[in-house]
Amino acid sequence: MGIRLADELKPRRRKTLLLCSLTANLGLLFCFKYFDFFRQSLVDLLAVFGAQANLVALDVVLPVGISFYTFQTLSYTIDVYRGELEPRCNVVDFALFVAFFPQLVAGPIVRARDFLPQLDGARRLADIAAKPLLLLFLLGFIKKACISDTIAPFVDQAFANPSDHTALGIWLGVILYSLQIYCDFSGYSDMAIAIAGLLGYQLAINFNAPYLATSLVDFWRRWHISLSTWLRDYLYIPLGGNRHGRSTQYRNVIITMALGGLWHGASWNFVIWGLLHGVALITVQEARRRSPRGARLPVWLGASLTLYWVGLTWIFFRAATLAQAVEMTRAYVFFDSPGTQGLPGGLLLLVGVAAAGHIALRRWPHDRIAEALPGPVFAAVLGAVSAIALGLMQADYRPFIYFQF
Amino acid sequence: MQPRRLATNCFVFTIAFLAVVILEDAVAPPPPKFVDDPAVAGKLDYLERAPHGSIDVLFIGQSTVDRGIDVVEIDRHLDSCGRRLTSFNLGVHGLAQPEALAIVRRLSDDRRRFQAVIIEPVPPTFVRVVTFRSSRIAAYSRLTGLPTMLYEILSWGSDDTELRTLLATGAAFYHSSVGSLGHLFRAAGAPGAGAAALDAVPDESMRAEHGFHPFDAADLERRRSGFLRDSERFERRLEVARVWRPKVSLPAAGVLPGRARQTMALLEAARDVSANVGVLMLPQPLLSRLVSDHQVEAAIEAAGGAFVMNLNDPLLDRGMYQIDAWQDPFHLTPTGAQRLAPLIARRLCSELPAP
Repeated sequence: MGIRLADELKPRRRKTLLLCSLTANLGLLFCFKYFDFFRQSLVDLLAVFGAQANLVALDVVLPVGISFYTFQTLSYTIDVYRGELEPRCNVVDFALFVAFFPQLVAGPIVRARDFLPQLDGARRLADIAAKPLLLLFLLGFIKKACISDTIAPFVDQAFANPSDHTALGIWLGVILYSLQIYCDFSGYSDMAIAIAGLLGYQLAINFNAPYLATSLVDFWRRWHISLSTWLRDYLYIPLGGNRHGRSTQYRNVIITMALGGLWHGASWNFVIWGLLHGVALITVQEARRRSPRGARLPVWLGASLTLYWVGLTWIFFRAATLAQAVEMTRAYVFFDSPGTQGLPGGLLLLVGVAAAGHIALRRWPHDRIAEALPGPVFAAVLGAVSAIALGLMQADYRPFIYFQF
Repeated sequence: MQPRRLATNCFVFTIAFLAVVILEDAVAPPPPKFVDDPAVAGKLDYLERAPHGSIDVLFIGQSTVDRGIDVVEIDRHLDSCGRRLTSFNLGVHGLAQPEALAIVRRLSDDRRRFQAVIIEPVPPTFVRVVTFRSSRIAAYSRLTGLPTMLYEILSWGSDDTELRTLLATGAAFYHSSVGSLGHLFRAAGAPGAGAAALDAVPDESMRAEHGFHPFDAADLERRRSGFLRDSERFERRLEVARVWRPKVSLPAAGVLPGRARQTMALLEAARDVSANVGVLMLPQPLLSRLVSDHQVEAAIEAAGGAFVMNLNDPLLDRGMYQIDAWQDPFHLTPTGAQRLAPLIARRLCSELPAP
């Protein structure tokens, strides 16, 4: 399809080809991931009006990583259509791009124009900077196996029966989930980037200390960067971006964020999660527009409000049902919950340590640390930290959260 | 990077890694005495709330015990042989041996006494599979066990890592992977899984052919050597084994350092709560007698003080190995548990002193 797109000169036929490709890619994604969701939603809607519908459910197993590689193949077709990428004649190259194992199942989403050109040159072992990559892998492993998996049972506890927990317990649960999902997902991304790097391929970073963001706009520049930039370039801007007035811009933000939410999973919770972010982004934009020139929130206040809002949206992302999410939101916002259970306060210490690590790595990035240490010292540190990490890791197997997407 | 520098860095990495592991081994706190697992706590709470003397027979083990022991049926069969006893199933999914030990010590501290305590050693396939252990225990045992394990492997000094273990592993691997490939090339008309299952249960003709029966308890030494020599037994597996074969890692079952030692420590502690301590070896459709089973049995024979209830024997009841008795390769269905109950009751009646 890419080759035909590149060869075709007539704009109308090019558009038809692009449409065919998009339909095929998104159709597969729809069948596997969204068909049953929309079917059930329709059945529920009809039931509200007293009608009964007997629609057949597909009930198929979701292929692992389908959301990720669908977006990757879409980026290939669209880039070829836009003339920003030469089509690949070698199907093996294309297959490698789609099925590149380090990031296949949970990202980061790699764009064709970033990855395919890397296949052209020969890779030499001497060109691989192993030290920063090994350290990055270890950091990713620590995030996932030592932090995320350690706090996961407490998060499960808080989200399983929110009504049993005090408002403080709910707050702690939400804070812990914020930490868990960050460590889980960014840990996977770090390991994927490191493995790809050790194989001689460069993947762009996917997280940039998102919880240090000073505004929600800033947050989305730092969180799941590969998805947010993908949505910006292939959805938001084609929809018109901010080129056609404020109302169109806000409409585009809402559409982009809602679809971004839906990308995560076939559930209204994810849509609401996206919408909450969309509404907040518009609010931030509007507040900036209306505020006197140069007036800005203090950094600490902006960061706190961002963290608060992101935490609130995580409730919808994590809660099993909408009713549960609403119940937790009430406790989170109004600090009101009928429950009596709490979570161990000692977990705040872990949150503190993780926050300190977050800030420290921002100040001293891993690649600078790795390059600063002489080889044998680096090897000793790596060996010692690996032993400590293996000792602290949880034995229970917990799949990466983003595997489900 | 130059090879020499690379080698140096790898060496430094290894030394630093081992140094920290040994340091952790020295300074890390001992494993917690009890895992705060609702499943364990729930059953134990019930047991501890029960009046002293109200429970006579205690079964301790993993999920295999949890689902395989039908206490109502067992008590009914015990009743029919003149023993009015009440059994309690303390089987908990993923129960590690250290946890079982902690439970027994806790019961001992509570001055509990039972007519019999029947313990299932950790099923062989789970011994080195960390996912089947409680996380904290696994983390600690990984830390504390690593130097010992390395020493045992390197020195070949331990009973657990003798050559026969290696051979057993090799034989098991051959028959679980290479051997099974043979089925792909089986000539048309040759017996398939269903037909082969008919002769899967070793029958008495084996005694005539080989001079002993693989499940014969009479001659321990011959059974040990027979386990290795008579490796085609892996091909004579049972119906369930044929259905579930791909899911099993027999090599993992071959190397089992420490199982016998842990079991003996557990039995010794159990003697504080009962004069009659039994080791329950539940049916294992995928695994016949393993080296580690023999090690446990030999250790008990040498030390005394406990009896072995080896129910991993198709000759006891062929119905035990029918597919409807098994939910998966390790867990019995309620039907299977009902079929197992008379076998257990019969053994208990013969082992327990007359009322």
